[in-house]
Amino acid sequence: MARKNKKNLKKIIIIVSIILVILVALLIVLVNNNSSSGAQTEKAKINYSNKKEQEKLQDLYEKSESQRMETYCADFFKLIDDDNYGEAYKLLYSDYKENYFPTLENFKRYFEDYFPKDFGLSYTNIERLGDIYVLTVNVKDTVNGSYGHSFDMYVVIKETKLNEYVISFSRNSAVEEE
Amino acid sequence: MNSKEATVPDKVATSFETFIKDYVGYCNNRNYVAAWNLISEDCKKNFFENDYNSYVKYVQKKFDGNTKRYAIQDYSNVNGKYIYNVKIFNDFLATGLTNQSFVFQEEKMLVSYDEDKNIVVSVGNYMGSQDLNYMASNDYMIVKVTESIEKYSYIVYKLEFINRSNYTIVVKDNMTGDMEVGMAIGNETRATSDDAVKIVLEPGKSQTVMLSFAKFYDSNTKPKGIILNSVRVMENYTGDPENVQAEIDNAVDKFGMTVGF
Repeated sequence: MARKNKKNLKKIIIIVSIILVILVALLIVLVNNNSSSGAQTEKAKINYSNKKEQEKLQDLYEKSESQRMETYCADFFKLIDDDNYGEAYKLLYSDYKENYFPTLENFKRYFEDYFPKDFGLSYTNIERLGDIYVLTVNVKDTVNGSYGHSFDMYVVIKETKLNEYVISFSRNSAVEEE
Repeated sequence: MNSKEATVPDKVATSFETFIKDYVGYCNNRNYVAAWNLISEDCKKNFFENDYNSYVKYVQKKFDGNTKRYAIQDYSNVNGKYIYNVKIFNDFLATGLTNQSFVFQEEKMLVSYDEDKNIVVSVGNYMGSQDLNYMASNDYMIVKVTESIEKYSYIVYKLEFINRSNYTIVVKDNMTGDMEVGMAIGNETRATSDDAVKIVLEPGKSQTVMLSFAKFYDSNTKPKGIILNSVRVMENYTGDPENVQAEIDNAVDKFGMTVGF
Protein backbone atom coordinates (compact mmCIF):
# COMPACT_ATOMS: atom_id res chain seq x y z
CA MET A 1 0.00 0.00 0.00
CA ALA A 2 2.73 2.42 1.03
CA ARG A 3 4.66 1.46 -2.07
CA LYS A 4 1.61 2.17 -4.27
CA ASN A 5 1.11 5.62 -2.65
CA LYS A 6 4.76 6.47 -3.23
CA LYS A 7 4.38 5.51 -6.90
CA ASN A 8 1.31 7.75 -7.27
CA LEU A 9 3.09 10.70 -5.67
CA LYS A 10 5.97 10.29 -8.09
CA LYS A 11 3.52 10.34 -11.02
CA ILE A 12 1.88 13.51 -9.68
CA ILE A 13 5.25 15.24 -9.28
CA ILE A 14 6.19 14.34 -12.84
CA ILE A 15 2.88 15.59 -14.22
CA VAL A 16 3.07 18.88 -12.26
CA SER A 17 6.66 19.34 -13.42
CA ILE A 18 5.64 18.82 -17.04
CA ILE A 19 2.77 21.30 -16.65
CA LEU A 20 5.15 23.84 -15.09
CA VAL A 21 7.64 23.43 -17.91
CA ILE A 22 4.86 23.92 -20.46
CA LEU A 23 3.60 27.03 -18.64
CA VAL A 24 7.10 28.55 -18.48
CA ALA A 25 7.59 27.82 -22.18
CA LEU A 26 4.25 29.45 -23.00
CA LEU A 27 5.17 32.47 -20.89
CA ILE A 28 8.48 32.84 -22.69
CA VAL A 29 6.79 32.63 -26.07
CA LEU A 30 4.19 35.21 -25.03
CA VAL A 31 6.81 37.63 -23.67
CA ASN A 32 8.90 37.25 -26.80
CA ASN A 33 5.90 37.82 -29.01
CA ASN A 34 4.96 40.96 -27.13
CA SER A 35 8.41 42.54 -27.32
CA SER A 36 8.74 41.71 -31.01
CA SER A 37 5.37 43.28 -31.77
CA GLY A 38 6.42 46.54 -29.99
CA ALA A 39 9.60 46.74 -32.01
CA GLN A 40 7.67 46.12 -35.16
CA THR A 41 5.24 48.91 -34.29
CA GLU A 42 8.16 51.28 -33.70
CA LYS A 43 9.73 50.22 -36.95
CA ALA A 44 6.45 50.69 -38.76
CA LYS A 45 6.15 54.16 -37.27
CA ILE A 46 9.64 55.11 -38.45
CA ASN A 47 8.95 53.70 -41.89
CA TYR A 48 5.72 55.66 -42.07
CA SER A 49 7.48 58.86 -41.03
CA ASN A 50 10.28 58.25 -43.57
CA LYS A 51 7.72 57.51 -46.22
CA LYS A 52 5.85 60.75 -45.50
CA GLU A 53 9.11 62.68 -45.58
CA GLN A 54 10.09 61.02 -48.86
CA GLU A 55 6.72 61.85 -50.34
CA LYS A 56 7.07 65.46 -49.21
CA LEU A 57 10.55 65.69 -50.75
CA GLN A 58 9.34 64.10 -53.97
CA ASP A 59 6.40 66.50 -54.05
CA LEU A 60 8.71 69.50 -53.54
CA TYR A 61 11.15 68.17 -56.13
CA GLU A 62 8.40 68.09 -58.72
CA LYS A 63 7.25 71.63 -57.96
CA SER A 64 8.42 74.81 -59.64
CA GLU A 65 10.51 77.31 -57.66
CA SER A 66 7.55 79.55 -56.98
CA GLN A 67 5.34 76.61 -55.93
CA ARG A 68 8.07 75.44 -53.51
CA MET A 69 8.28 78.90 -51.96
CA GLU A 70 4.52 79.02 -51.57
CA THR A 71 4.67 75.62 -49.89
CA TYR A 72 7.39 76.75 -47.46
CA CYS A 73 5.44 79.90 -46.68
CA ALA A 74 2.23 77.93 -46.13
CA ASP A 75 4.07 75.40 -43.93
CA PHE A 76 5.48 78.21 -41.80
CA PHE A 77 2.11 79.85 -41.25
CA LYS A 78 0.48 76.45 -40.66
CA LEU A 79 2.79 76.08 -37.67
CA ILE A 80 1.58 79.48 -36.43
CA ASP A 81 -2.02 78.49 -37.04
CA ASP A 82 -1.45 75.26 -35.09
CA ASP A 83 0.04 77.29 -32.19
CA ASN A 84 3.33 75.53 -32.82
CA TYR A 85 5.28 78.76 -32.32
CA GLY A 86 8.45 77.03 -31.19
CA GLU A 87 8.90 75.16 -34.49
CA ALA A 88 8.02 78.27 -36.51
CA TYR A 89 10.48 80.35 -34.47
CA LYS A 90 13.28 77.91 -35.32
CA LEU A 91 12.76 78.71 -39.02
CA LEU A 92 13.48 82.43 -38.63
CA TYR A 93 16.71 83.73 -40.19
CA SER A 94 19.15 84.33 -37.33
CA ASP A 95 19.91 88.06 -37.96
CA TYR A 96 16.23 88.76 -38.44
CA LYS A 97 15.32 86.87 -35.28
CA GLU A 98 17.91 88.83 -33.32
CA ASN A 99 16.67 92.19 -34.62
CA TYR A 100 12.93 91.74 -34.56
CA PHE A 101 12.00 88.81 -32.31
CA PRO A 102 14.74 88.26 -29.73
CA THR A 103 12.56 85.86 -27.74
CA LEU A 104 9.98 83.23 -28.56
CA GLU A 105 7.57 85.16 -26.32
CA ASN A 106 7.95 88.30 -28.56
CA PHE A 107 7.26 86.16 -31.57
CA LYS A 108 4.20 84.49 -30.10
CA ARG A 109 2.75 87.75 -28.83
CA TYR A 110 3.18 89.43 -32.23
CA PHE A 111 0.98 86.83 -33.90
CA GLU A 112 -1.54 86.84 -31.08
CA ASP A 113 -1.82 90.65 -31.23
CA TYR A 114 -1.56 91.29 -34.95
CA PHE A 115 -2.79 88.29 -36.89
CA PRO A 116 -6.44 87.32 -37.28
CA LYS A 117 -7.40 84.24 -35.28
CA ASP A 118 -8.24 82.37 -38.47
CA PHE A 119 -6.51 83.43 -41.63
CA GLY A 120 -5.88 82.40 -45.21
CA LEU A 121 -2.96 83.34 -47.46
CA SER A 122 -2.86 84.28 -51.11
CA TYR A 123 0.28 85.07 -53.10
CA THR A 124 0.30 88.11 -55.34
CA ASN A 125 3.93 88.16 -56.46
CA ILE A 126 7.13 86.15 -56.17
CA GLU A 127 10.50 87.61 -57.16
CA ARG A 128 13.80 85.77 -57.08
CA LEU A 129 16.90 87.73 -56.14
CA GLY A 130 19.88 85.37 -56.30
CA ASP A 131 19.37 82.83 -53.53
CA ILE A 132 16.43 84.55 -51.85
CA TYR A 133 12.79 84.83 -52.85
CA VAL A 134 10.52 87.73 -51.93
CA LEU A 135 6.84 86.85 -51.77
CA THR A 136 4.07 89.41 -51.56
CA VAL A 137 1.40 87.74 -49.48
CA ASN A 138 -2.14 88.79 -48.68
CA VAL A 139 -3.36 87.68 -45.25
CA LYS A 140 -7.13 87.44 -45.08
CA ASP A 141 -9.32 87.14 -41.99
CA THR A 142 -11.31 84.08 -42.97
CA VAL A 143 -13.95 84.43 -40.27
CA ASN A 144 -14.78 88.12 -40.41
CA GLY A 145 -14.10 88.65 -44.13
CA SER A 146 -14.03 92.28 -45.17
CA TYR A 147 -14.86 93.39 -41.60
CA GLY A 148 -11.83 91.59 -40.24
CA HIS A 149 -8.14 92.43 -40.24
CA SER A 150 -6.70 91.62 -43.66
CA PHE A 151 -3.40 93.01 -44.91
CA ASP A 152 -0.42 92.53 -47.27
CA MET A 153 3.02 91.55 -46.11
CA TYR A 154 6.37 90.49 -47.53
CA VAL A 155 7.83 87.08 -46.79
CA VAL A 156 11.48 86.46 -47.60
CA ILE A 157 12.72 82.88 -47.96
CA LYS A 158 16.16 81.39 -48.51
CA GLU A 159 16.12 77.72 -49.44
CA THR A 160 19.24 75.93 -48.25
CA LYS A 161 18.18 72.55 -49.62
CA LEU A 162 14.94 70.80 -50.43
CA ASN A 163 12.52 71.30 -47.51
CA GLU A 164 15.17 73.24 -45.56
CA TYR A 165 14.90 77.00 -45.48
CA VAL A 166 15.08 80.14 -43.37
CA ILE A 167 12.43 82.81 -43.41
CA SER A 168 11.72 86.40 -42.44
CA PHE A 169 8.73 88.66 -42.98
CA SER A 170 7.81 92.32 -42.82
CA ARG A 171 7.01 93.00 -39.21
CA ASN A 172 4.39 95.67 -38.71
CA SER A 173 6.28 98.19 -36.62
CA ALA A 174 3.04 99.66 -35.29
CA VAL A 175 2.72 96.53 -33.19
CA GLU A 176 4.56 97.14 -29.96
CA GLU A 177 7.75 95.24 -29.30
CA GLU A 178 7.71 93.84 -25.80
CA MET B 1 13.13 88.36 -73.18
CA ASN B 2 15.38 85.70 -74.65
CA SER B 3 17.31 84.99 -71.47
CA LYS B 4 17.45 81.28 -72.12
CA GLU B 5 18.25 81.32 -75.81
CA ALA B 6 21.92 82.01 -75.75
CA THR B 7 23.63 81.99 -72.42
CA VAL B 8 27.31 81.88 -71.58
CA PRO B 9 29.15 78.75 -72.74
CA ASP B 10 30.55 76.64 -69.88
CA LYS B 11 34.18 77.17 -70.87
CA VAL B 12 34.04 80.92 -70.41
CA ALA B 13 31.29 81.02 -67.78
CA THR B 14 33.55 80.47 -64.78
CA SER B 15 36.10 83.15 -65.58
CA PHE B 16 33.44 85.66 -66.65
CA GLU B 17 31.28 85.05 -63.60
CA THR B 18 34.27 85.35 -61.30
CA PHE B 19 35.13 88.58 -63.08
CA ILE B 20 31.63 90.00 -62.65
CA LYS B 21 31.60 88.98 -58.98
CA ASP B 22 34.97 90.70 -58.50
CA TYR B 23 33.69 93.83 -60.19
CA VAL B 24 30.48 94.03 -58.14
CA GLY B 25 32.47 93.15 -55.02
CA TYR B 26 34.83 96.09 -55.62
CA CYS B 27 31.84 98.42 -56.01
CA ASN B 28 30.23 97.02 -52.89
CA ASN B 29 33.44 97.47 -50.89
CA ARG B 30 33.92 101.01 -52.24
CA ASN B 31 37.14 100.03 -54.00
CA TYR B 32 36.28 102.32 -56.90
CA VAL B 33 39.75 102.44 -58.46
CA ALA B 34 39.88 98.65 -58.80
CA ALA B 35 36.36 98.65 -60.24
CA TRP B 36 37.16 101.49 -62.69
CA ASN B 37 40.16 99.53 -63.97
CA LEU B 38 37.82 96.74 -65.10
CA ILE B 39 35.60 99.02 -67.19
CA SER B 40 36.05 98.80 -70.97
CA GLU B 41 37.73 101.74 -72.68
CA ASP B 42 34.64 102.19 -74.85
CA CYS B 43 32.37 102.43 -71.80
CA LYS B 44 34.79 104.77 -70.01
CA LYS B 45 34.90 107.05 -73.02
CA ASN B 46 31.30 107.03 -74.25
CA PHE B 47 29.33 106.40 -71.07
CA PHE B 48 31.45 108.16 -68.45
CA GLU B 49 33.30 110.59 -70.77
CA ASN B 50 36.58 109.34 -69.28
CA ASP B 51 35.60 111.01 -66.02
CA TYR B 52 36.50 108.84 -63.02
CA ASN B 53 34.54 111.10 -60.63
CA SER B 54 31.43 110.72 -62.72
CA TYR B 55 31.91 106.94 -62.52
CA VAL B 56 32.27 107.05 -58.72
CA LYS B 57 29.06 109.08 -58.44
CA TYR B 58 27.32 106.56 -60.64
CA VAL B 59 28.40 103.61 -58.46
CA GLN B 60 27.62 105.44 -55.22
CA LYS B 61 24.11 106.12 -56.48
CA LYS B 62 23.64 102.44 -57.33
CA PHE B 63 24.95 101.21 -53.99
CA ASP B 64 23.81 104.29 -52.03
CA GLY B 65 26.85 104.07 -49.76
CA ASN B 66 25.71 100.85 -48.09
CA THR B 67 26.95 97.31 -48.42
CA LYS B 68 24.51 95.51 -50.66
CA ARG B 69 23.55 92.03 -51.64
CA TYR B 70 23.69 91.19 -55.32
CA ALA B 71 22.59 88.50 -57.72
CA ILE B 72 24.29 87.82 -61.05
CA GLN B 73 22.60 85.86 -63.81
CA ASP B 74 24.00 85.07 -67.24
CA TYR B 75 21.52 86.36 -69.77
CA SER B 76 22.55 86.09 -73.41
CA ASN B 77 25.45 86.52 -75.78
CA VAL B 78 26.03 88.47 -78.95
CA ASN B 79 29.07 88.12 -81.20
CA GLY B 80 31.40 86.91 -78.48
CA LYS B 81 30.15 89.43 -75.91
CA TYR B 82 28.29 88.15 -72.88
CA ILE B 83 25.41 89.90 -71.18
CA TYR B 84 24.74 89.46 -67.47
CA ASN B 85 21.71 90.65 -65.55
CA VAL B 86 22.82 92.09 -62.21
CA LYS B 87 20.41 92.88 -59.38
CA ILE B 88 21.59 94.93 -56.40
CA PHE B 89 19.48 95.05 -53.26
CA ASN B 90 19.43 95.44 -49.49
CA ASP B 91 19.73 92.47 -47.15
CA PHE B 92 16.03 91.68 -47.32
CA LEU B 93 16.38 88.38 -45.47
CA ALA B 94 17.80 90.18 -42.42
CA THR B 95 14.93 92.69 -42.32
CA GLY B 96 12.03 90.81 -43.87
CA LEU B 97 11.47 94.13 -45.68
CA THR B 98 10.17 95.60 -42.43
CA ASN B 99 9.46 99.32 -42.99
CA GLN B 100 10.94 99.05 -46.49
CA SER B 101 9.63 99.15 -50.03
CA PHE B 102 10.50 96.25 -52.25
CA VAL B 103 12.85 98.02 -54.65
CA PHE B 104 16.14 96.91 -56.14
CA GLN B 105 18.57 98.08 -58.78
CA GLU B 106 18.83 96.06 -61.96
CA GLU B 107 21.08 96.51 -64.93
CA LYS B 108 22.65 94.62 -67.78
CA MET B 109 26.45 94.36 -67.85
CA LEU B 110 28.34 93.38 -70.98
CA VAL B 111 31.50 91.33 -70.53
CA SER B 112 33.98 90.86 -73.34
CA TYR B 113 37.69 90.65 -74.17
CA ASP B 114 39.54 93.81 -75.11
CA GLU B 115 42.28 94.02 -77.76
CA ASP B 116 44.85 92.71 -75.27
CA LYS B 117 42.63 89.74 -74.38
CA ASN B 118 41.84 91.16 -70.96
CA ILE B 119 38.29 90.70 -69.69
CA VAL B 120 36.49 94.05 -69.45
CA VAL B 121 32.96 95.13 -68.57
CA SER B 122 30.52 97.77 -69.77
CA VAL B 123 28.02 98.79 -67.12
CA GLY B 124 24.79 100.77 -66.77
CA ASN B 125 23.11 98.88 -69.65
CA TYR B 126 25.68 100.43 -71.99
CA MET B 127 26.45 97.94 -74.74
CA GLY B 128 28.69 99.90 -77.10
CA SER B 129 28.88 102.56 -79.76
CA GLN B 130 29.85 102.69 -83.40
CA ASP B 131 30.89 105.37 -85.87
CA LEU B 132 28.61 105.29 -88.89
CA ASN B 133 28.76 106.89 -92.28
CA TYR B 134 25.33 106.80 -93.86
CA MET B 135 23.90 109.64 -95.89
CA ALA B 136 20.92 110.60 -98.00
CA SER B 137 20.30 113.87 -99.83
CA ASN B 138 18.10 115.72 -102.29
CA ASP B 139 17.91 119.28 -103.55
CA TYR B 140 16.66 120.56 -100.23
CA MET B 141 18.74 118.86 -97.59
CA ILE B 142 21.42 116.39 -96.59
CA VAL B 143 20.91 113.87 -93.77
CA LYS B 144 23.84 112.04 -92.20
CA VAL B 145 23.81 109.27 -89.62
CA THR B 146 27.21 109.45 -87.98
CA GLU B 147 27.05 107.39 -84.79
CA SER B 148 25.01 104.79 -82.95
CA ILE B 149 25.07 104.22 -79.20
CA GLU B 150 23.48 101.03 -77.94
CA LYS B 151 21.94 100.58 -74.53
CA TYR B 152 20.46 97.18 -73.73
CA SER B 153 16.87 98.03 -74.62
CA TYR B 154 17.27 100.87 -77.12
CA ILE B 155 19.59 102.37 -79.71
CA VAL B 156 20.44 106.05 -80.12
CA TYR B 157 21.43 107.51 -83.48
CA LYS B 158 23.26 110.75 -84.01
CA LEU B 159 21.74 112.50 -87.02
CA GLU B 160 22.96 115.62 -88.73
CA PHE B 161 20.54 117.59 -90.93
CA ILE B 162 21.84 120.23 -93.34
CA ASN B 163 19.41 122.58 -95.06
CA ARG B 164 20.78 123.39 -98.49
CA SER B 165 17.76 125.48 -99.55
CA ASN B 166 16.45 128.97 -98.97
CA TYR B 167 13.34 127.65 -97.24
CA THR B 168 12.56 126.48 -93.76
CA ILE B 169 12.58 122.69 -93.64
CA VAL B 170 10.49 120.95 -91.00
CA VAL B 171 11.42 117.32 -90.38
CA LYS B 172 9.81 116.82 -86.99
CA ASP B 173 7.65 119.21 -85.01
CA ASN B 174 5.12 116.67 -83.67
CA MET B 175 2.22 118.50 -85.27
CA THR B 176 1.21 116.34 -88.19
CA GLY B 177 -0.15 113.45 -86.14
CA ASP B 178 1.97 111.07 -88.21
CA MET B 179 5.14 109.21 -87.30
CA GLU B 180 7.51 111.88 -88.59
CA VAL B 181 10.76 110.01 -87.92
CA GLY B 182 11.06 106.24 -87.61
CA MET B 183 13.56 103.42 -87.64
CA ALA B 184 12.99 100.64 -90.18
CA ILE B 185 13.67 97.28 -88.55
CA GLY B 186 12.49 93.90 -89.80
CA ASN B 187 9.07 94.44 -91.31
CA GLU B 188 8.12 97.38 -89.15
CA THR B 189 8.92 101.01 -88.49
CA ARG B 190 9.43 102.12 -84.90
CA ALA B 191 8.83 105.69 -83.82
CA THR B 192 11.48 107.53 -81.87
CA SER B 193 10.89 107.74 -78.15
CA ASP B 194 12.30 111.29 -78.08
CA ASP B 195 8.97 113.01 -78.54
CA ALA B 196 10.18 116.40 -77.37
CA VAL B 197 12.92 116.72 -80.00
CA LYS B 198 12.04 119.08 -82.86
CA ILE B 199 13.93 119.22 -86.13
CA VAL B 200 13.27 122.53 -87.85
CA LEU B 201 15.99 123.85 -90.16
CA GLU B 202 16.27 127.50 -90.99
CA PRO B 203 17.51 128.28 -94.54
CA GLY B 204 21.14 127.22 -94.92
CA LYS B 205 21.40 126.00 -91.32
CA SER B 206 22.16 122.57 -89.89
CA GLN B 207 21.02 120.73 -86.79
CA THR B 208 22.39 117.67 -85.01
CA VAL B 209 20.09 115.53 -82.87
CA MET B 210 20.21 112.28 -80.95
CA LEU B 211 17.17 110.06 -81.48
CA SER B 212 16.37 106.88 -79.55
CA PHE B 213 14.49 103.85 -80.83
CA ALA B 214 13.38 100.70 -79.02
CA LYS B 215 15.64 97.77 -79.86
CA PHE B 216 17.10 95.01 -77.70
CA TYR B 217 20.84 94.63 -78.12
CA ASP B 218 20.61 90.84 -78.34
CA SER B 219 17.79 90.88 -80.87
CA ASN B 220 18.63 89.22 -84.17
CA THR B 221 16.68 91.82 -86.14
CA LYS B 222 18.91 94.55 -87.48
CA PRO B 223 17.87 98.14 -88.25
CA LYS B 224 17.57 98.92 -91.97
CA GLY B 225 17.57 102.68 -91.86
CA ILE B 226 16.04 105.93 -90.66
CA ILE B 227 12.81 107.01 -92.30
CA LEU B 228 11.67 110.63 -92.51
CA ASN B 229 7.99 110.40 -93.32
CA SER B 230 6.74 113.95 -93.66
CA VAL B 231 9.39 116.52 -94.47
CA ARG B 232 7.88 119.90 -95.28
CA VAL B 233 9.62 122.67 -97.22
CA MET B 234 8.06 125.97 -96.21
CA GLU B 235 8.27 129.56 -97.12
CA ASN B 236 6.59 130.59 -93.88
CA TYR B 237 6.67 128.51 -90.73
CA THR B 238 5.38 129.72 -87.38
CA GLY B 239 5.18 126.49 -85.38
CA ASP B 240 1.80 127.65 -84.11
CA PRO B 241 -0.55 124.65 -83.76
CA GLU B 242 -3.45 126.75 -85.01
CA ASN B 243 -1.70 127.39 -88.34
CA VAL B 244 -0.42 123.88 -88.92
CA GLN B 245 -2.80 122.69 -91.58
CA ALA B 246 -2.73 125.97 -93.50
CA GLU B 247 1.06 126.00 -93.48
CA ILE B 248 1.24 122.37 -94.61
CA ASP B 249 -1.24 123.11 -97.41
CA ASN B 250 0.91 126.01 -98.56
CA ALA B 251 4.21 124.11 -98.36
CA VAL B 252 6.61 124.55 -101.27
CA ASP B 253 7.23 120.80 -101.24
CA LYS B 254 6.52 117.72 -99.16
CA PHE B 255 8.46 114.50 -99.32
CA GLY B 256 9.66 111.40 -97.49
CA MET B 257 13.26 110.28 -97.29
CA THR B 258 15.14 107.20 -96.11
CA VAL B 259 18.71 106.95 -94.91
CA GLY B 260 19.43 103.29 -95.61
CA PHE B 261 21.97 101.25 -93.62
